Amino acid sequence: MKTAKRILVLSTYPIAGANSGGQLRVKAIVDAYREAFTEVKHVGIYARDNYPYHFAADDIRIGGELGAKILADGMMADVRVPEAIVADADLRAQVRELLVSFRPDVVAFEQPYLYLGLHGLLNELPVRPQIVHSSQNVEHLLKPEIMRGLGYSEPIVEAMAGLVREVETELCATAAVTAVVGPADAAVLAELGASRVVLAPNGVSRKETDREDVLAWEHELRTRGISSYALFVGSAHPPNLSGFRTMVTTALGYVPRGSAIVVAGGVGDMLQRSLRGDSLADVTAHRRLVVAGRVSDARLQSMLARAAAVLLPITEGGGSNLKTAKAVISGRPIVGTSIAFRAFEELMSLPGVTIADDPAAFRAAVARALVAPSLGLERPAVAESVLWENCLSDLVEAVRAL
Amino acid sequence: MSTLPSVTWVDVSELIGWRGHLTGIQRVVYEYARRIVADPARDVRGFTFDFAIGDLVEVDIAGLLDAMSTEVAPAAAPTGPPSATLAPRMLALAKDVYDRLPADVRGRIRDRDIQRVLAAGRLAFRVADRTARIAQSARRRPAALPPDPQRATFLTGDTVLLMGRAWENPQGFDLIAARKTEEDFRLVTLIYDVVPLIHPEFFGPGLYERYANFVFEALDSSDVLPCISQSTERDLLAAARELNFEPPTTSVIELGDPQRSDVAREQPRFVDDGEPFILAIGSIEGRKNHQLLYQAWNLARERGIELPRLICVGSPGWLGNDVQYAVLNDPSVRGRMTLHHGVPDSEVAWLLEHCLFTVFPSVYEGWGLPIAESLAAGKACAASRSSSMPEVGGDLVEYFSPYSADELLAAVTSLLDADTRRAREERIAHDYQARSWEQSYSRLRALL
Repeated sequence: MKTAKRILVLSTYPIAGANSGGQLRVKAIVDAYREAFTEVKHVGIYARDNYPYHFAADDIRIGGELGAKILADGMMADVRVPEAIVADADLRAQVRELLVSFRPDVVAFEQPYLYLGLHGLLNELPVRPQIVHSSQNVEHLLKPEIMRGLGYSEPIVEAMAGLVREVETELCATAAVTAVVGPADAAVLAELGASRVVLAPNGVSRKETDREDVLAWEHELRTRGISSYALFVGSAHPPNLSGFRTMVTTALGYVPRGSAIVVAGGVGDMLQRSLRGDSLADVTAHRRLVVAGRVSDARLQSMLARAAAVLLPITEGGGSNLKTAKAVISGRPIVGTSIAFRAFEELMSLPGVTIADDPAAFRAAVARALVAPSLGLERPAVAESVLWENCLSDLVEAVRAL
Repeated sequence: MSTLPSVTWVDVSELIGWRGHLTGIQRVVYEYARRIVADPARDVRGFTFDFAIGDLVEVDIAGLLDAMSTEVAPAAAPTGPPSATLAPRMLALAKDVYDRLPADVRGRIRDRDIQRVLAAGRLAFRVADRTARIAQSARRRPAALPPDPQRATFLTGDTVLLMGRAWENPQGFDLIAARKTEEDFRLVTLIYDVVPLIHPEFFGPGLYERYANFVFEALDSSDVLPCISQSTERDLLAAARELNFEPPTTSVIELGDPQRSDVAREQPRFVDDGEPFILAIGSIEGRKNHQLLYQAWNLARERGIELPRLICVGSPGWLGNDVQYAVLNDPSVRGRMTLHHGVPDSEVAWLLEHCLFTVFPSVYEGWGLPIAESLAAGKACAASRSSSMPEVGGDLVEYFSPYSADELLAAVTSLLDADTRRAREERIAHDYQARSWEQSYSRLRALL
């Protein structure tokens, strides 16, 4: 029985064609709300050309000069969009119309940024909706880390960090419910003033493998002379690349002949672009590296199904990782860092899971996994906890109680 | 159940392309190959990569070496170029004709006319000499691959020895490495140096990547990696660390000294009788650092130091054009520093015997062979102190930084002092331990 509530979920990206971890999380939350509540609408507000191909009719896509300006600001786009809502009359009217026509009981902000642009408008509404703050990371800590990694100058990074901390603090103080992906984030956001904090770790959907695609993948492996491989799946998120370069590296002398490291997802394209022609490790990487890049969901399942190990070389970033959940539910052996298991701490001792925080120990574990018999592992029932329906149940109940 | 006797497979790809004159690596392959073939304890077969069929094929190694041996071995009595055998007879004939001319006819022939005739004769003989050399090379070319090659099949227990430029042929190396996953043969890969990884600036585009991939596969597939110097071994181990390999099994086997004792000496035309000169042997390429010699000779002129002529012999190589152009066109070194290509062994032997001393400024070497060559000839040497050079020359050589013309000039002026040079030559005669190919092979043999 669905509860009669009108829920509006807002994010700075679309969820149509969800691919990145953030998009998948918002889509899962929207799906969970739709199971539980009578009317649920998701609206992405973003520069049109940032997501040119996949979008929904309800999305507010900012085009023209304003959109181009937001796009040009790169990592600053997350704050440029809410600034534009405040400053641009047309965009502001569009967002106001959304709020007035939908009349939400609950406005759920995925990440804090859009609150910066909407809190004024919300105060103008005749009926004040309840606010939900759905956090993926402690943004004021993560954002500067990423920006420094991308070479932004320190004054810009500091300014951004200050602004994000301000909005994150304000949202924590205002929100009726704050959802976090792990206990570590819960502690930080509670300190910022969050009162009702619920745990909503990232999860995965249970997926079946496609027999035809598995055969095609096996054929490709045979063609390449690969009998065993370790798989890293990640989006084009800079910390994914830096984690790979620190823990796995492109110096793949430790990978035995006939074995390989396979990198799938946007991080693969990012890795390929980052290879330097004057680095001994980089120019020899393809001896043992297969960059698959973005692949279909079916191929990803095939890759997981045949992997000798799934790698979780995560060294930075808050939140929990979808990739960790996917790895656990795949039933394949895992080599990961303890940071990768944040919010999944109880899964670290599962059979077939190797935790290594030292790069050399990590690589040694990968080398062992590549030569070990590739057996499927029976995960105990605790692994089921990574399914989305289990991960989001506390959040749904907290919103129902509002 | 009987087992097949194990075979030692030798990659002779380098010798397949032999054209009558052995390059550095060809010389090494040749010296080792003929000793392995002569080893009674071994069943030896040769192989190469056949691009036509994309596979490794057998080569008649004994036949190949036989075809080469008569030409490669130092000639006891060289027949000499046409200019050496015909010119004196032609000159005598011309004099005889001149003497028979009536006095009034002789009186009308001017000295200038005689000079012209002699100059034309010299030019004709230069062309004849070159043509003869090319013809000789063509005769020496051995039969390459047989028309119906047999696949080279390496079996468990065999030994496969790679001594050539495997980095030039990644397909061949990949085939060997792939076969090693099927048969447990022993792969021995001789490493000359990893210079393209340390000084990529001295090589053409693309070599860094090709060489890096060769080093990766060599480290991954080889059971043992003999290195021709401690310097090369250090560099290889550093590359292994950088690529996250377990430390490979390596061993140092020093190369034999070049053998010039049996080569007939012939004075090159570009040296006058009794002219004092300093000798630099090595291809004229960027890494060999002739630029530093050019700077040092100019530095000497600037400081008013009179240096003897510097004679550089070596084939033209990569990035050598700039210094060649400078030497040819800079009036301040004209005649004081000269470059000579295609100088035959007999003339190089003469130059070694008659030079004051040698100089070798190379930036980096897997094994500084010209130093060994100089010391084996009893000649003092000034050399750069980088990479393997001190291993070759020990304390018998005057060292300098390969980046300091000032230090090079100091080393050269020191050896110009006759007493200093004599003392150094006496020490070389007393202390230098020549390295023989037999000793070198015995070290390699222990690894096979």
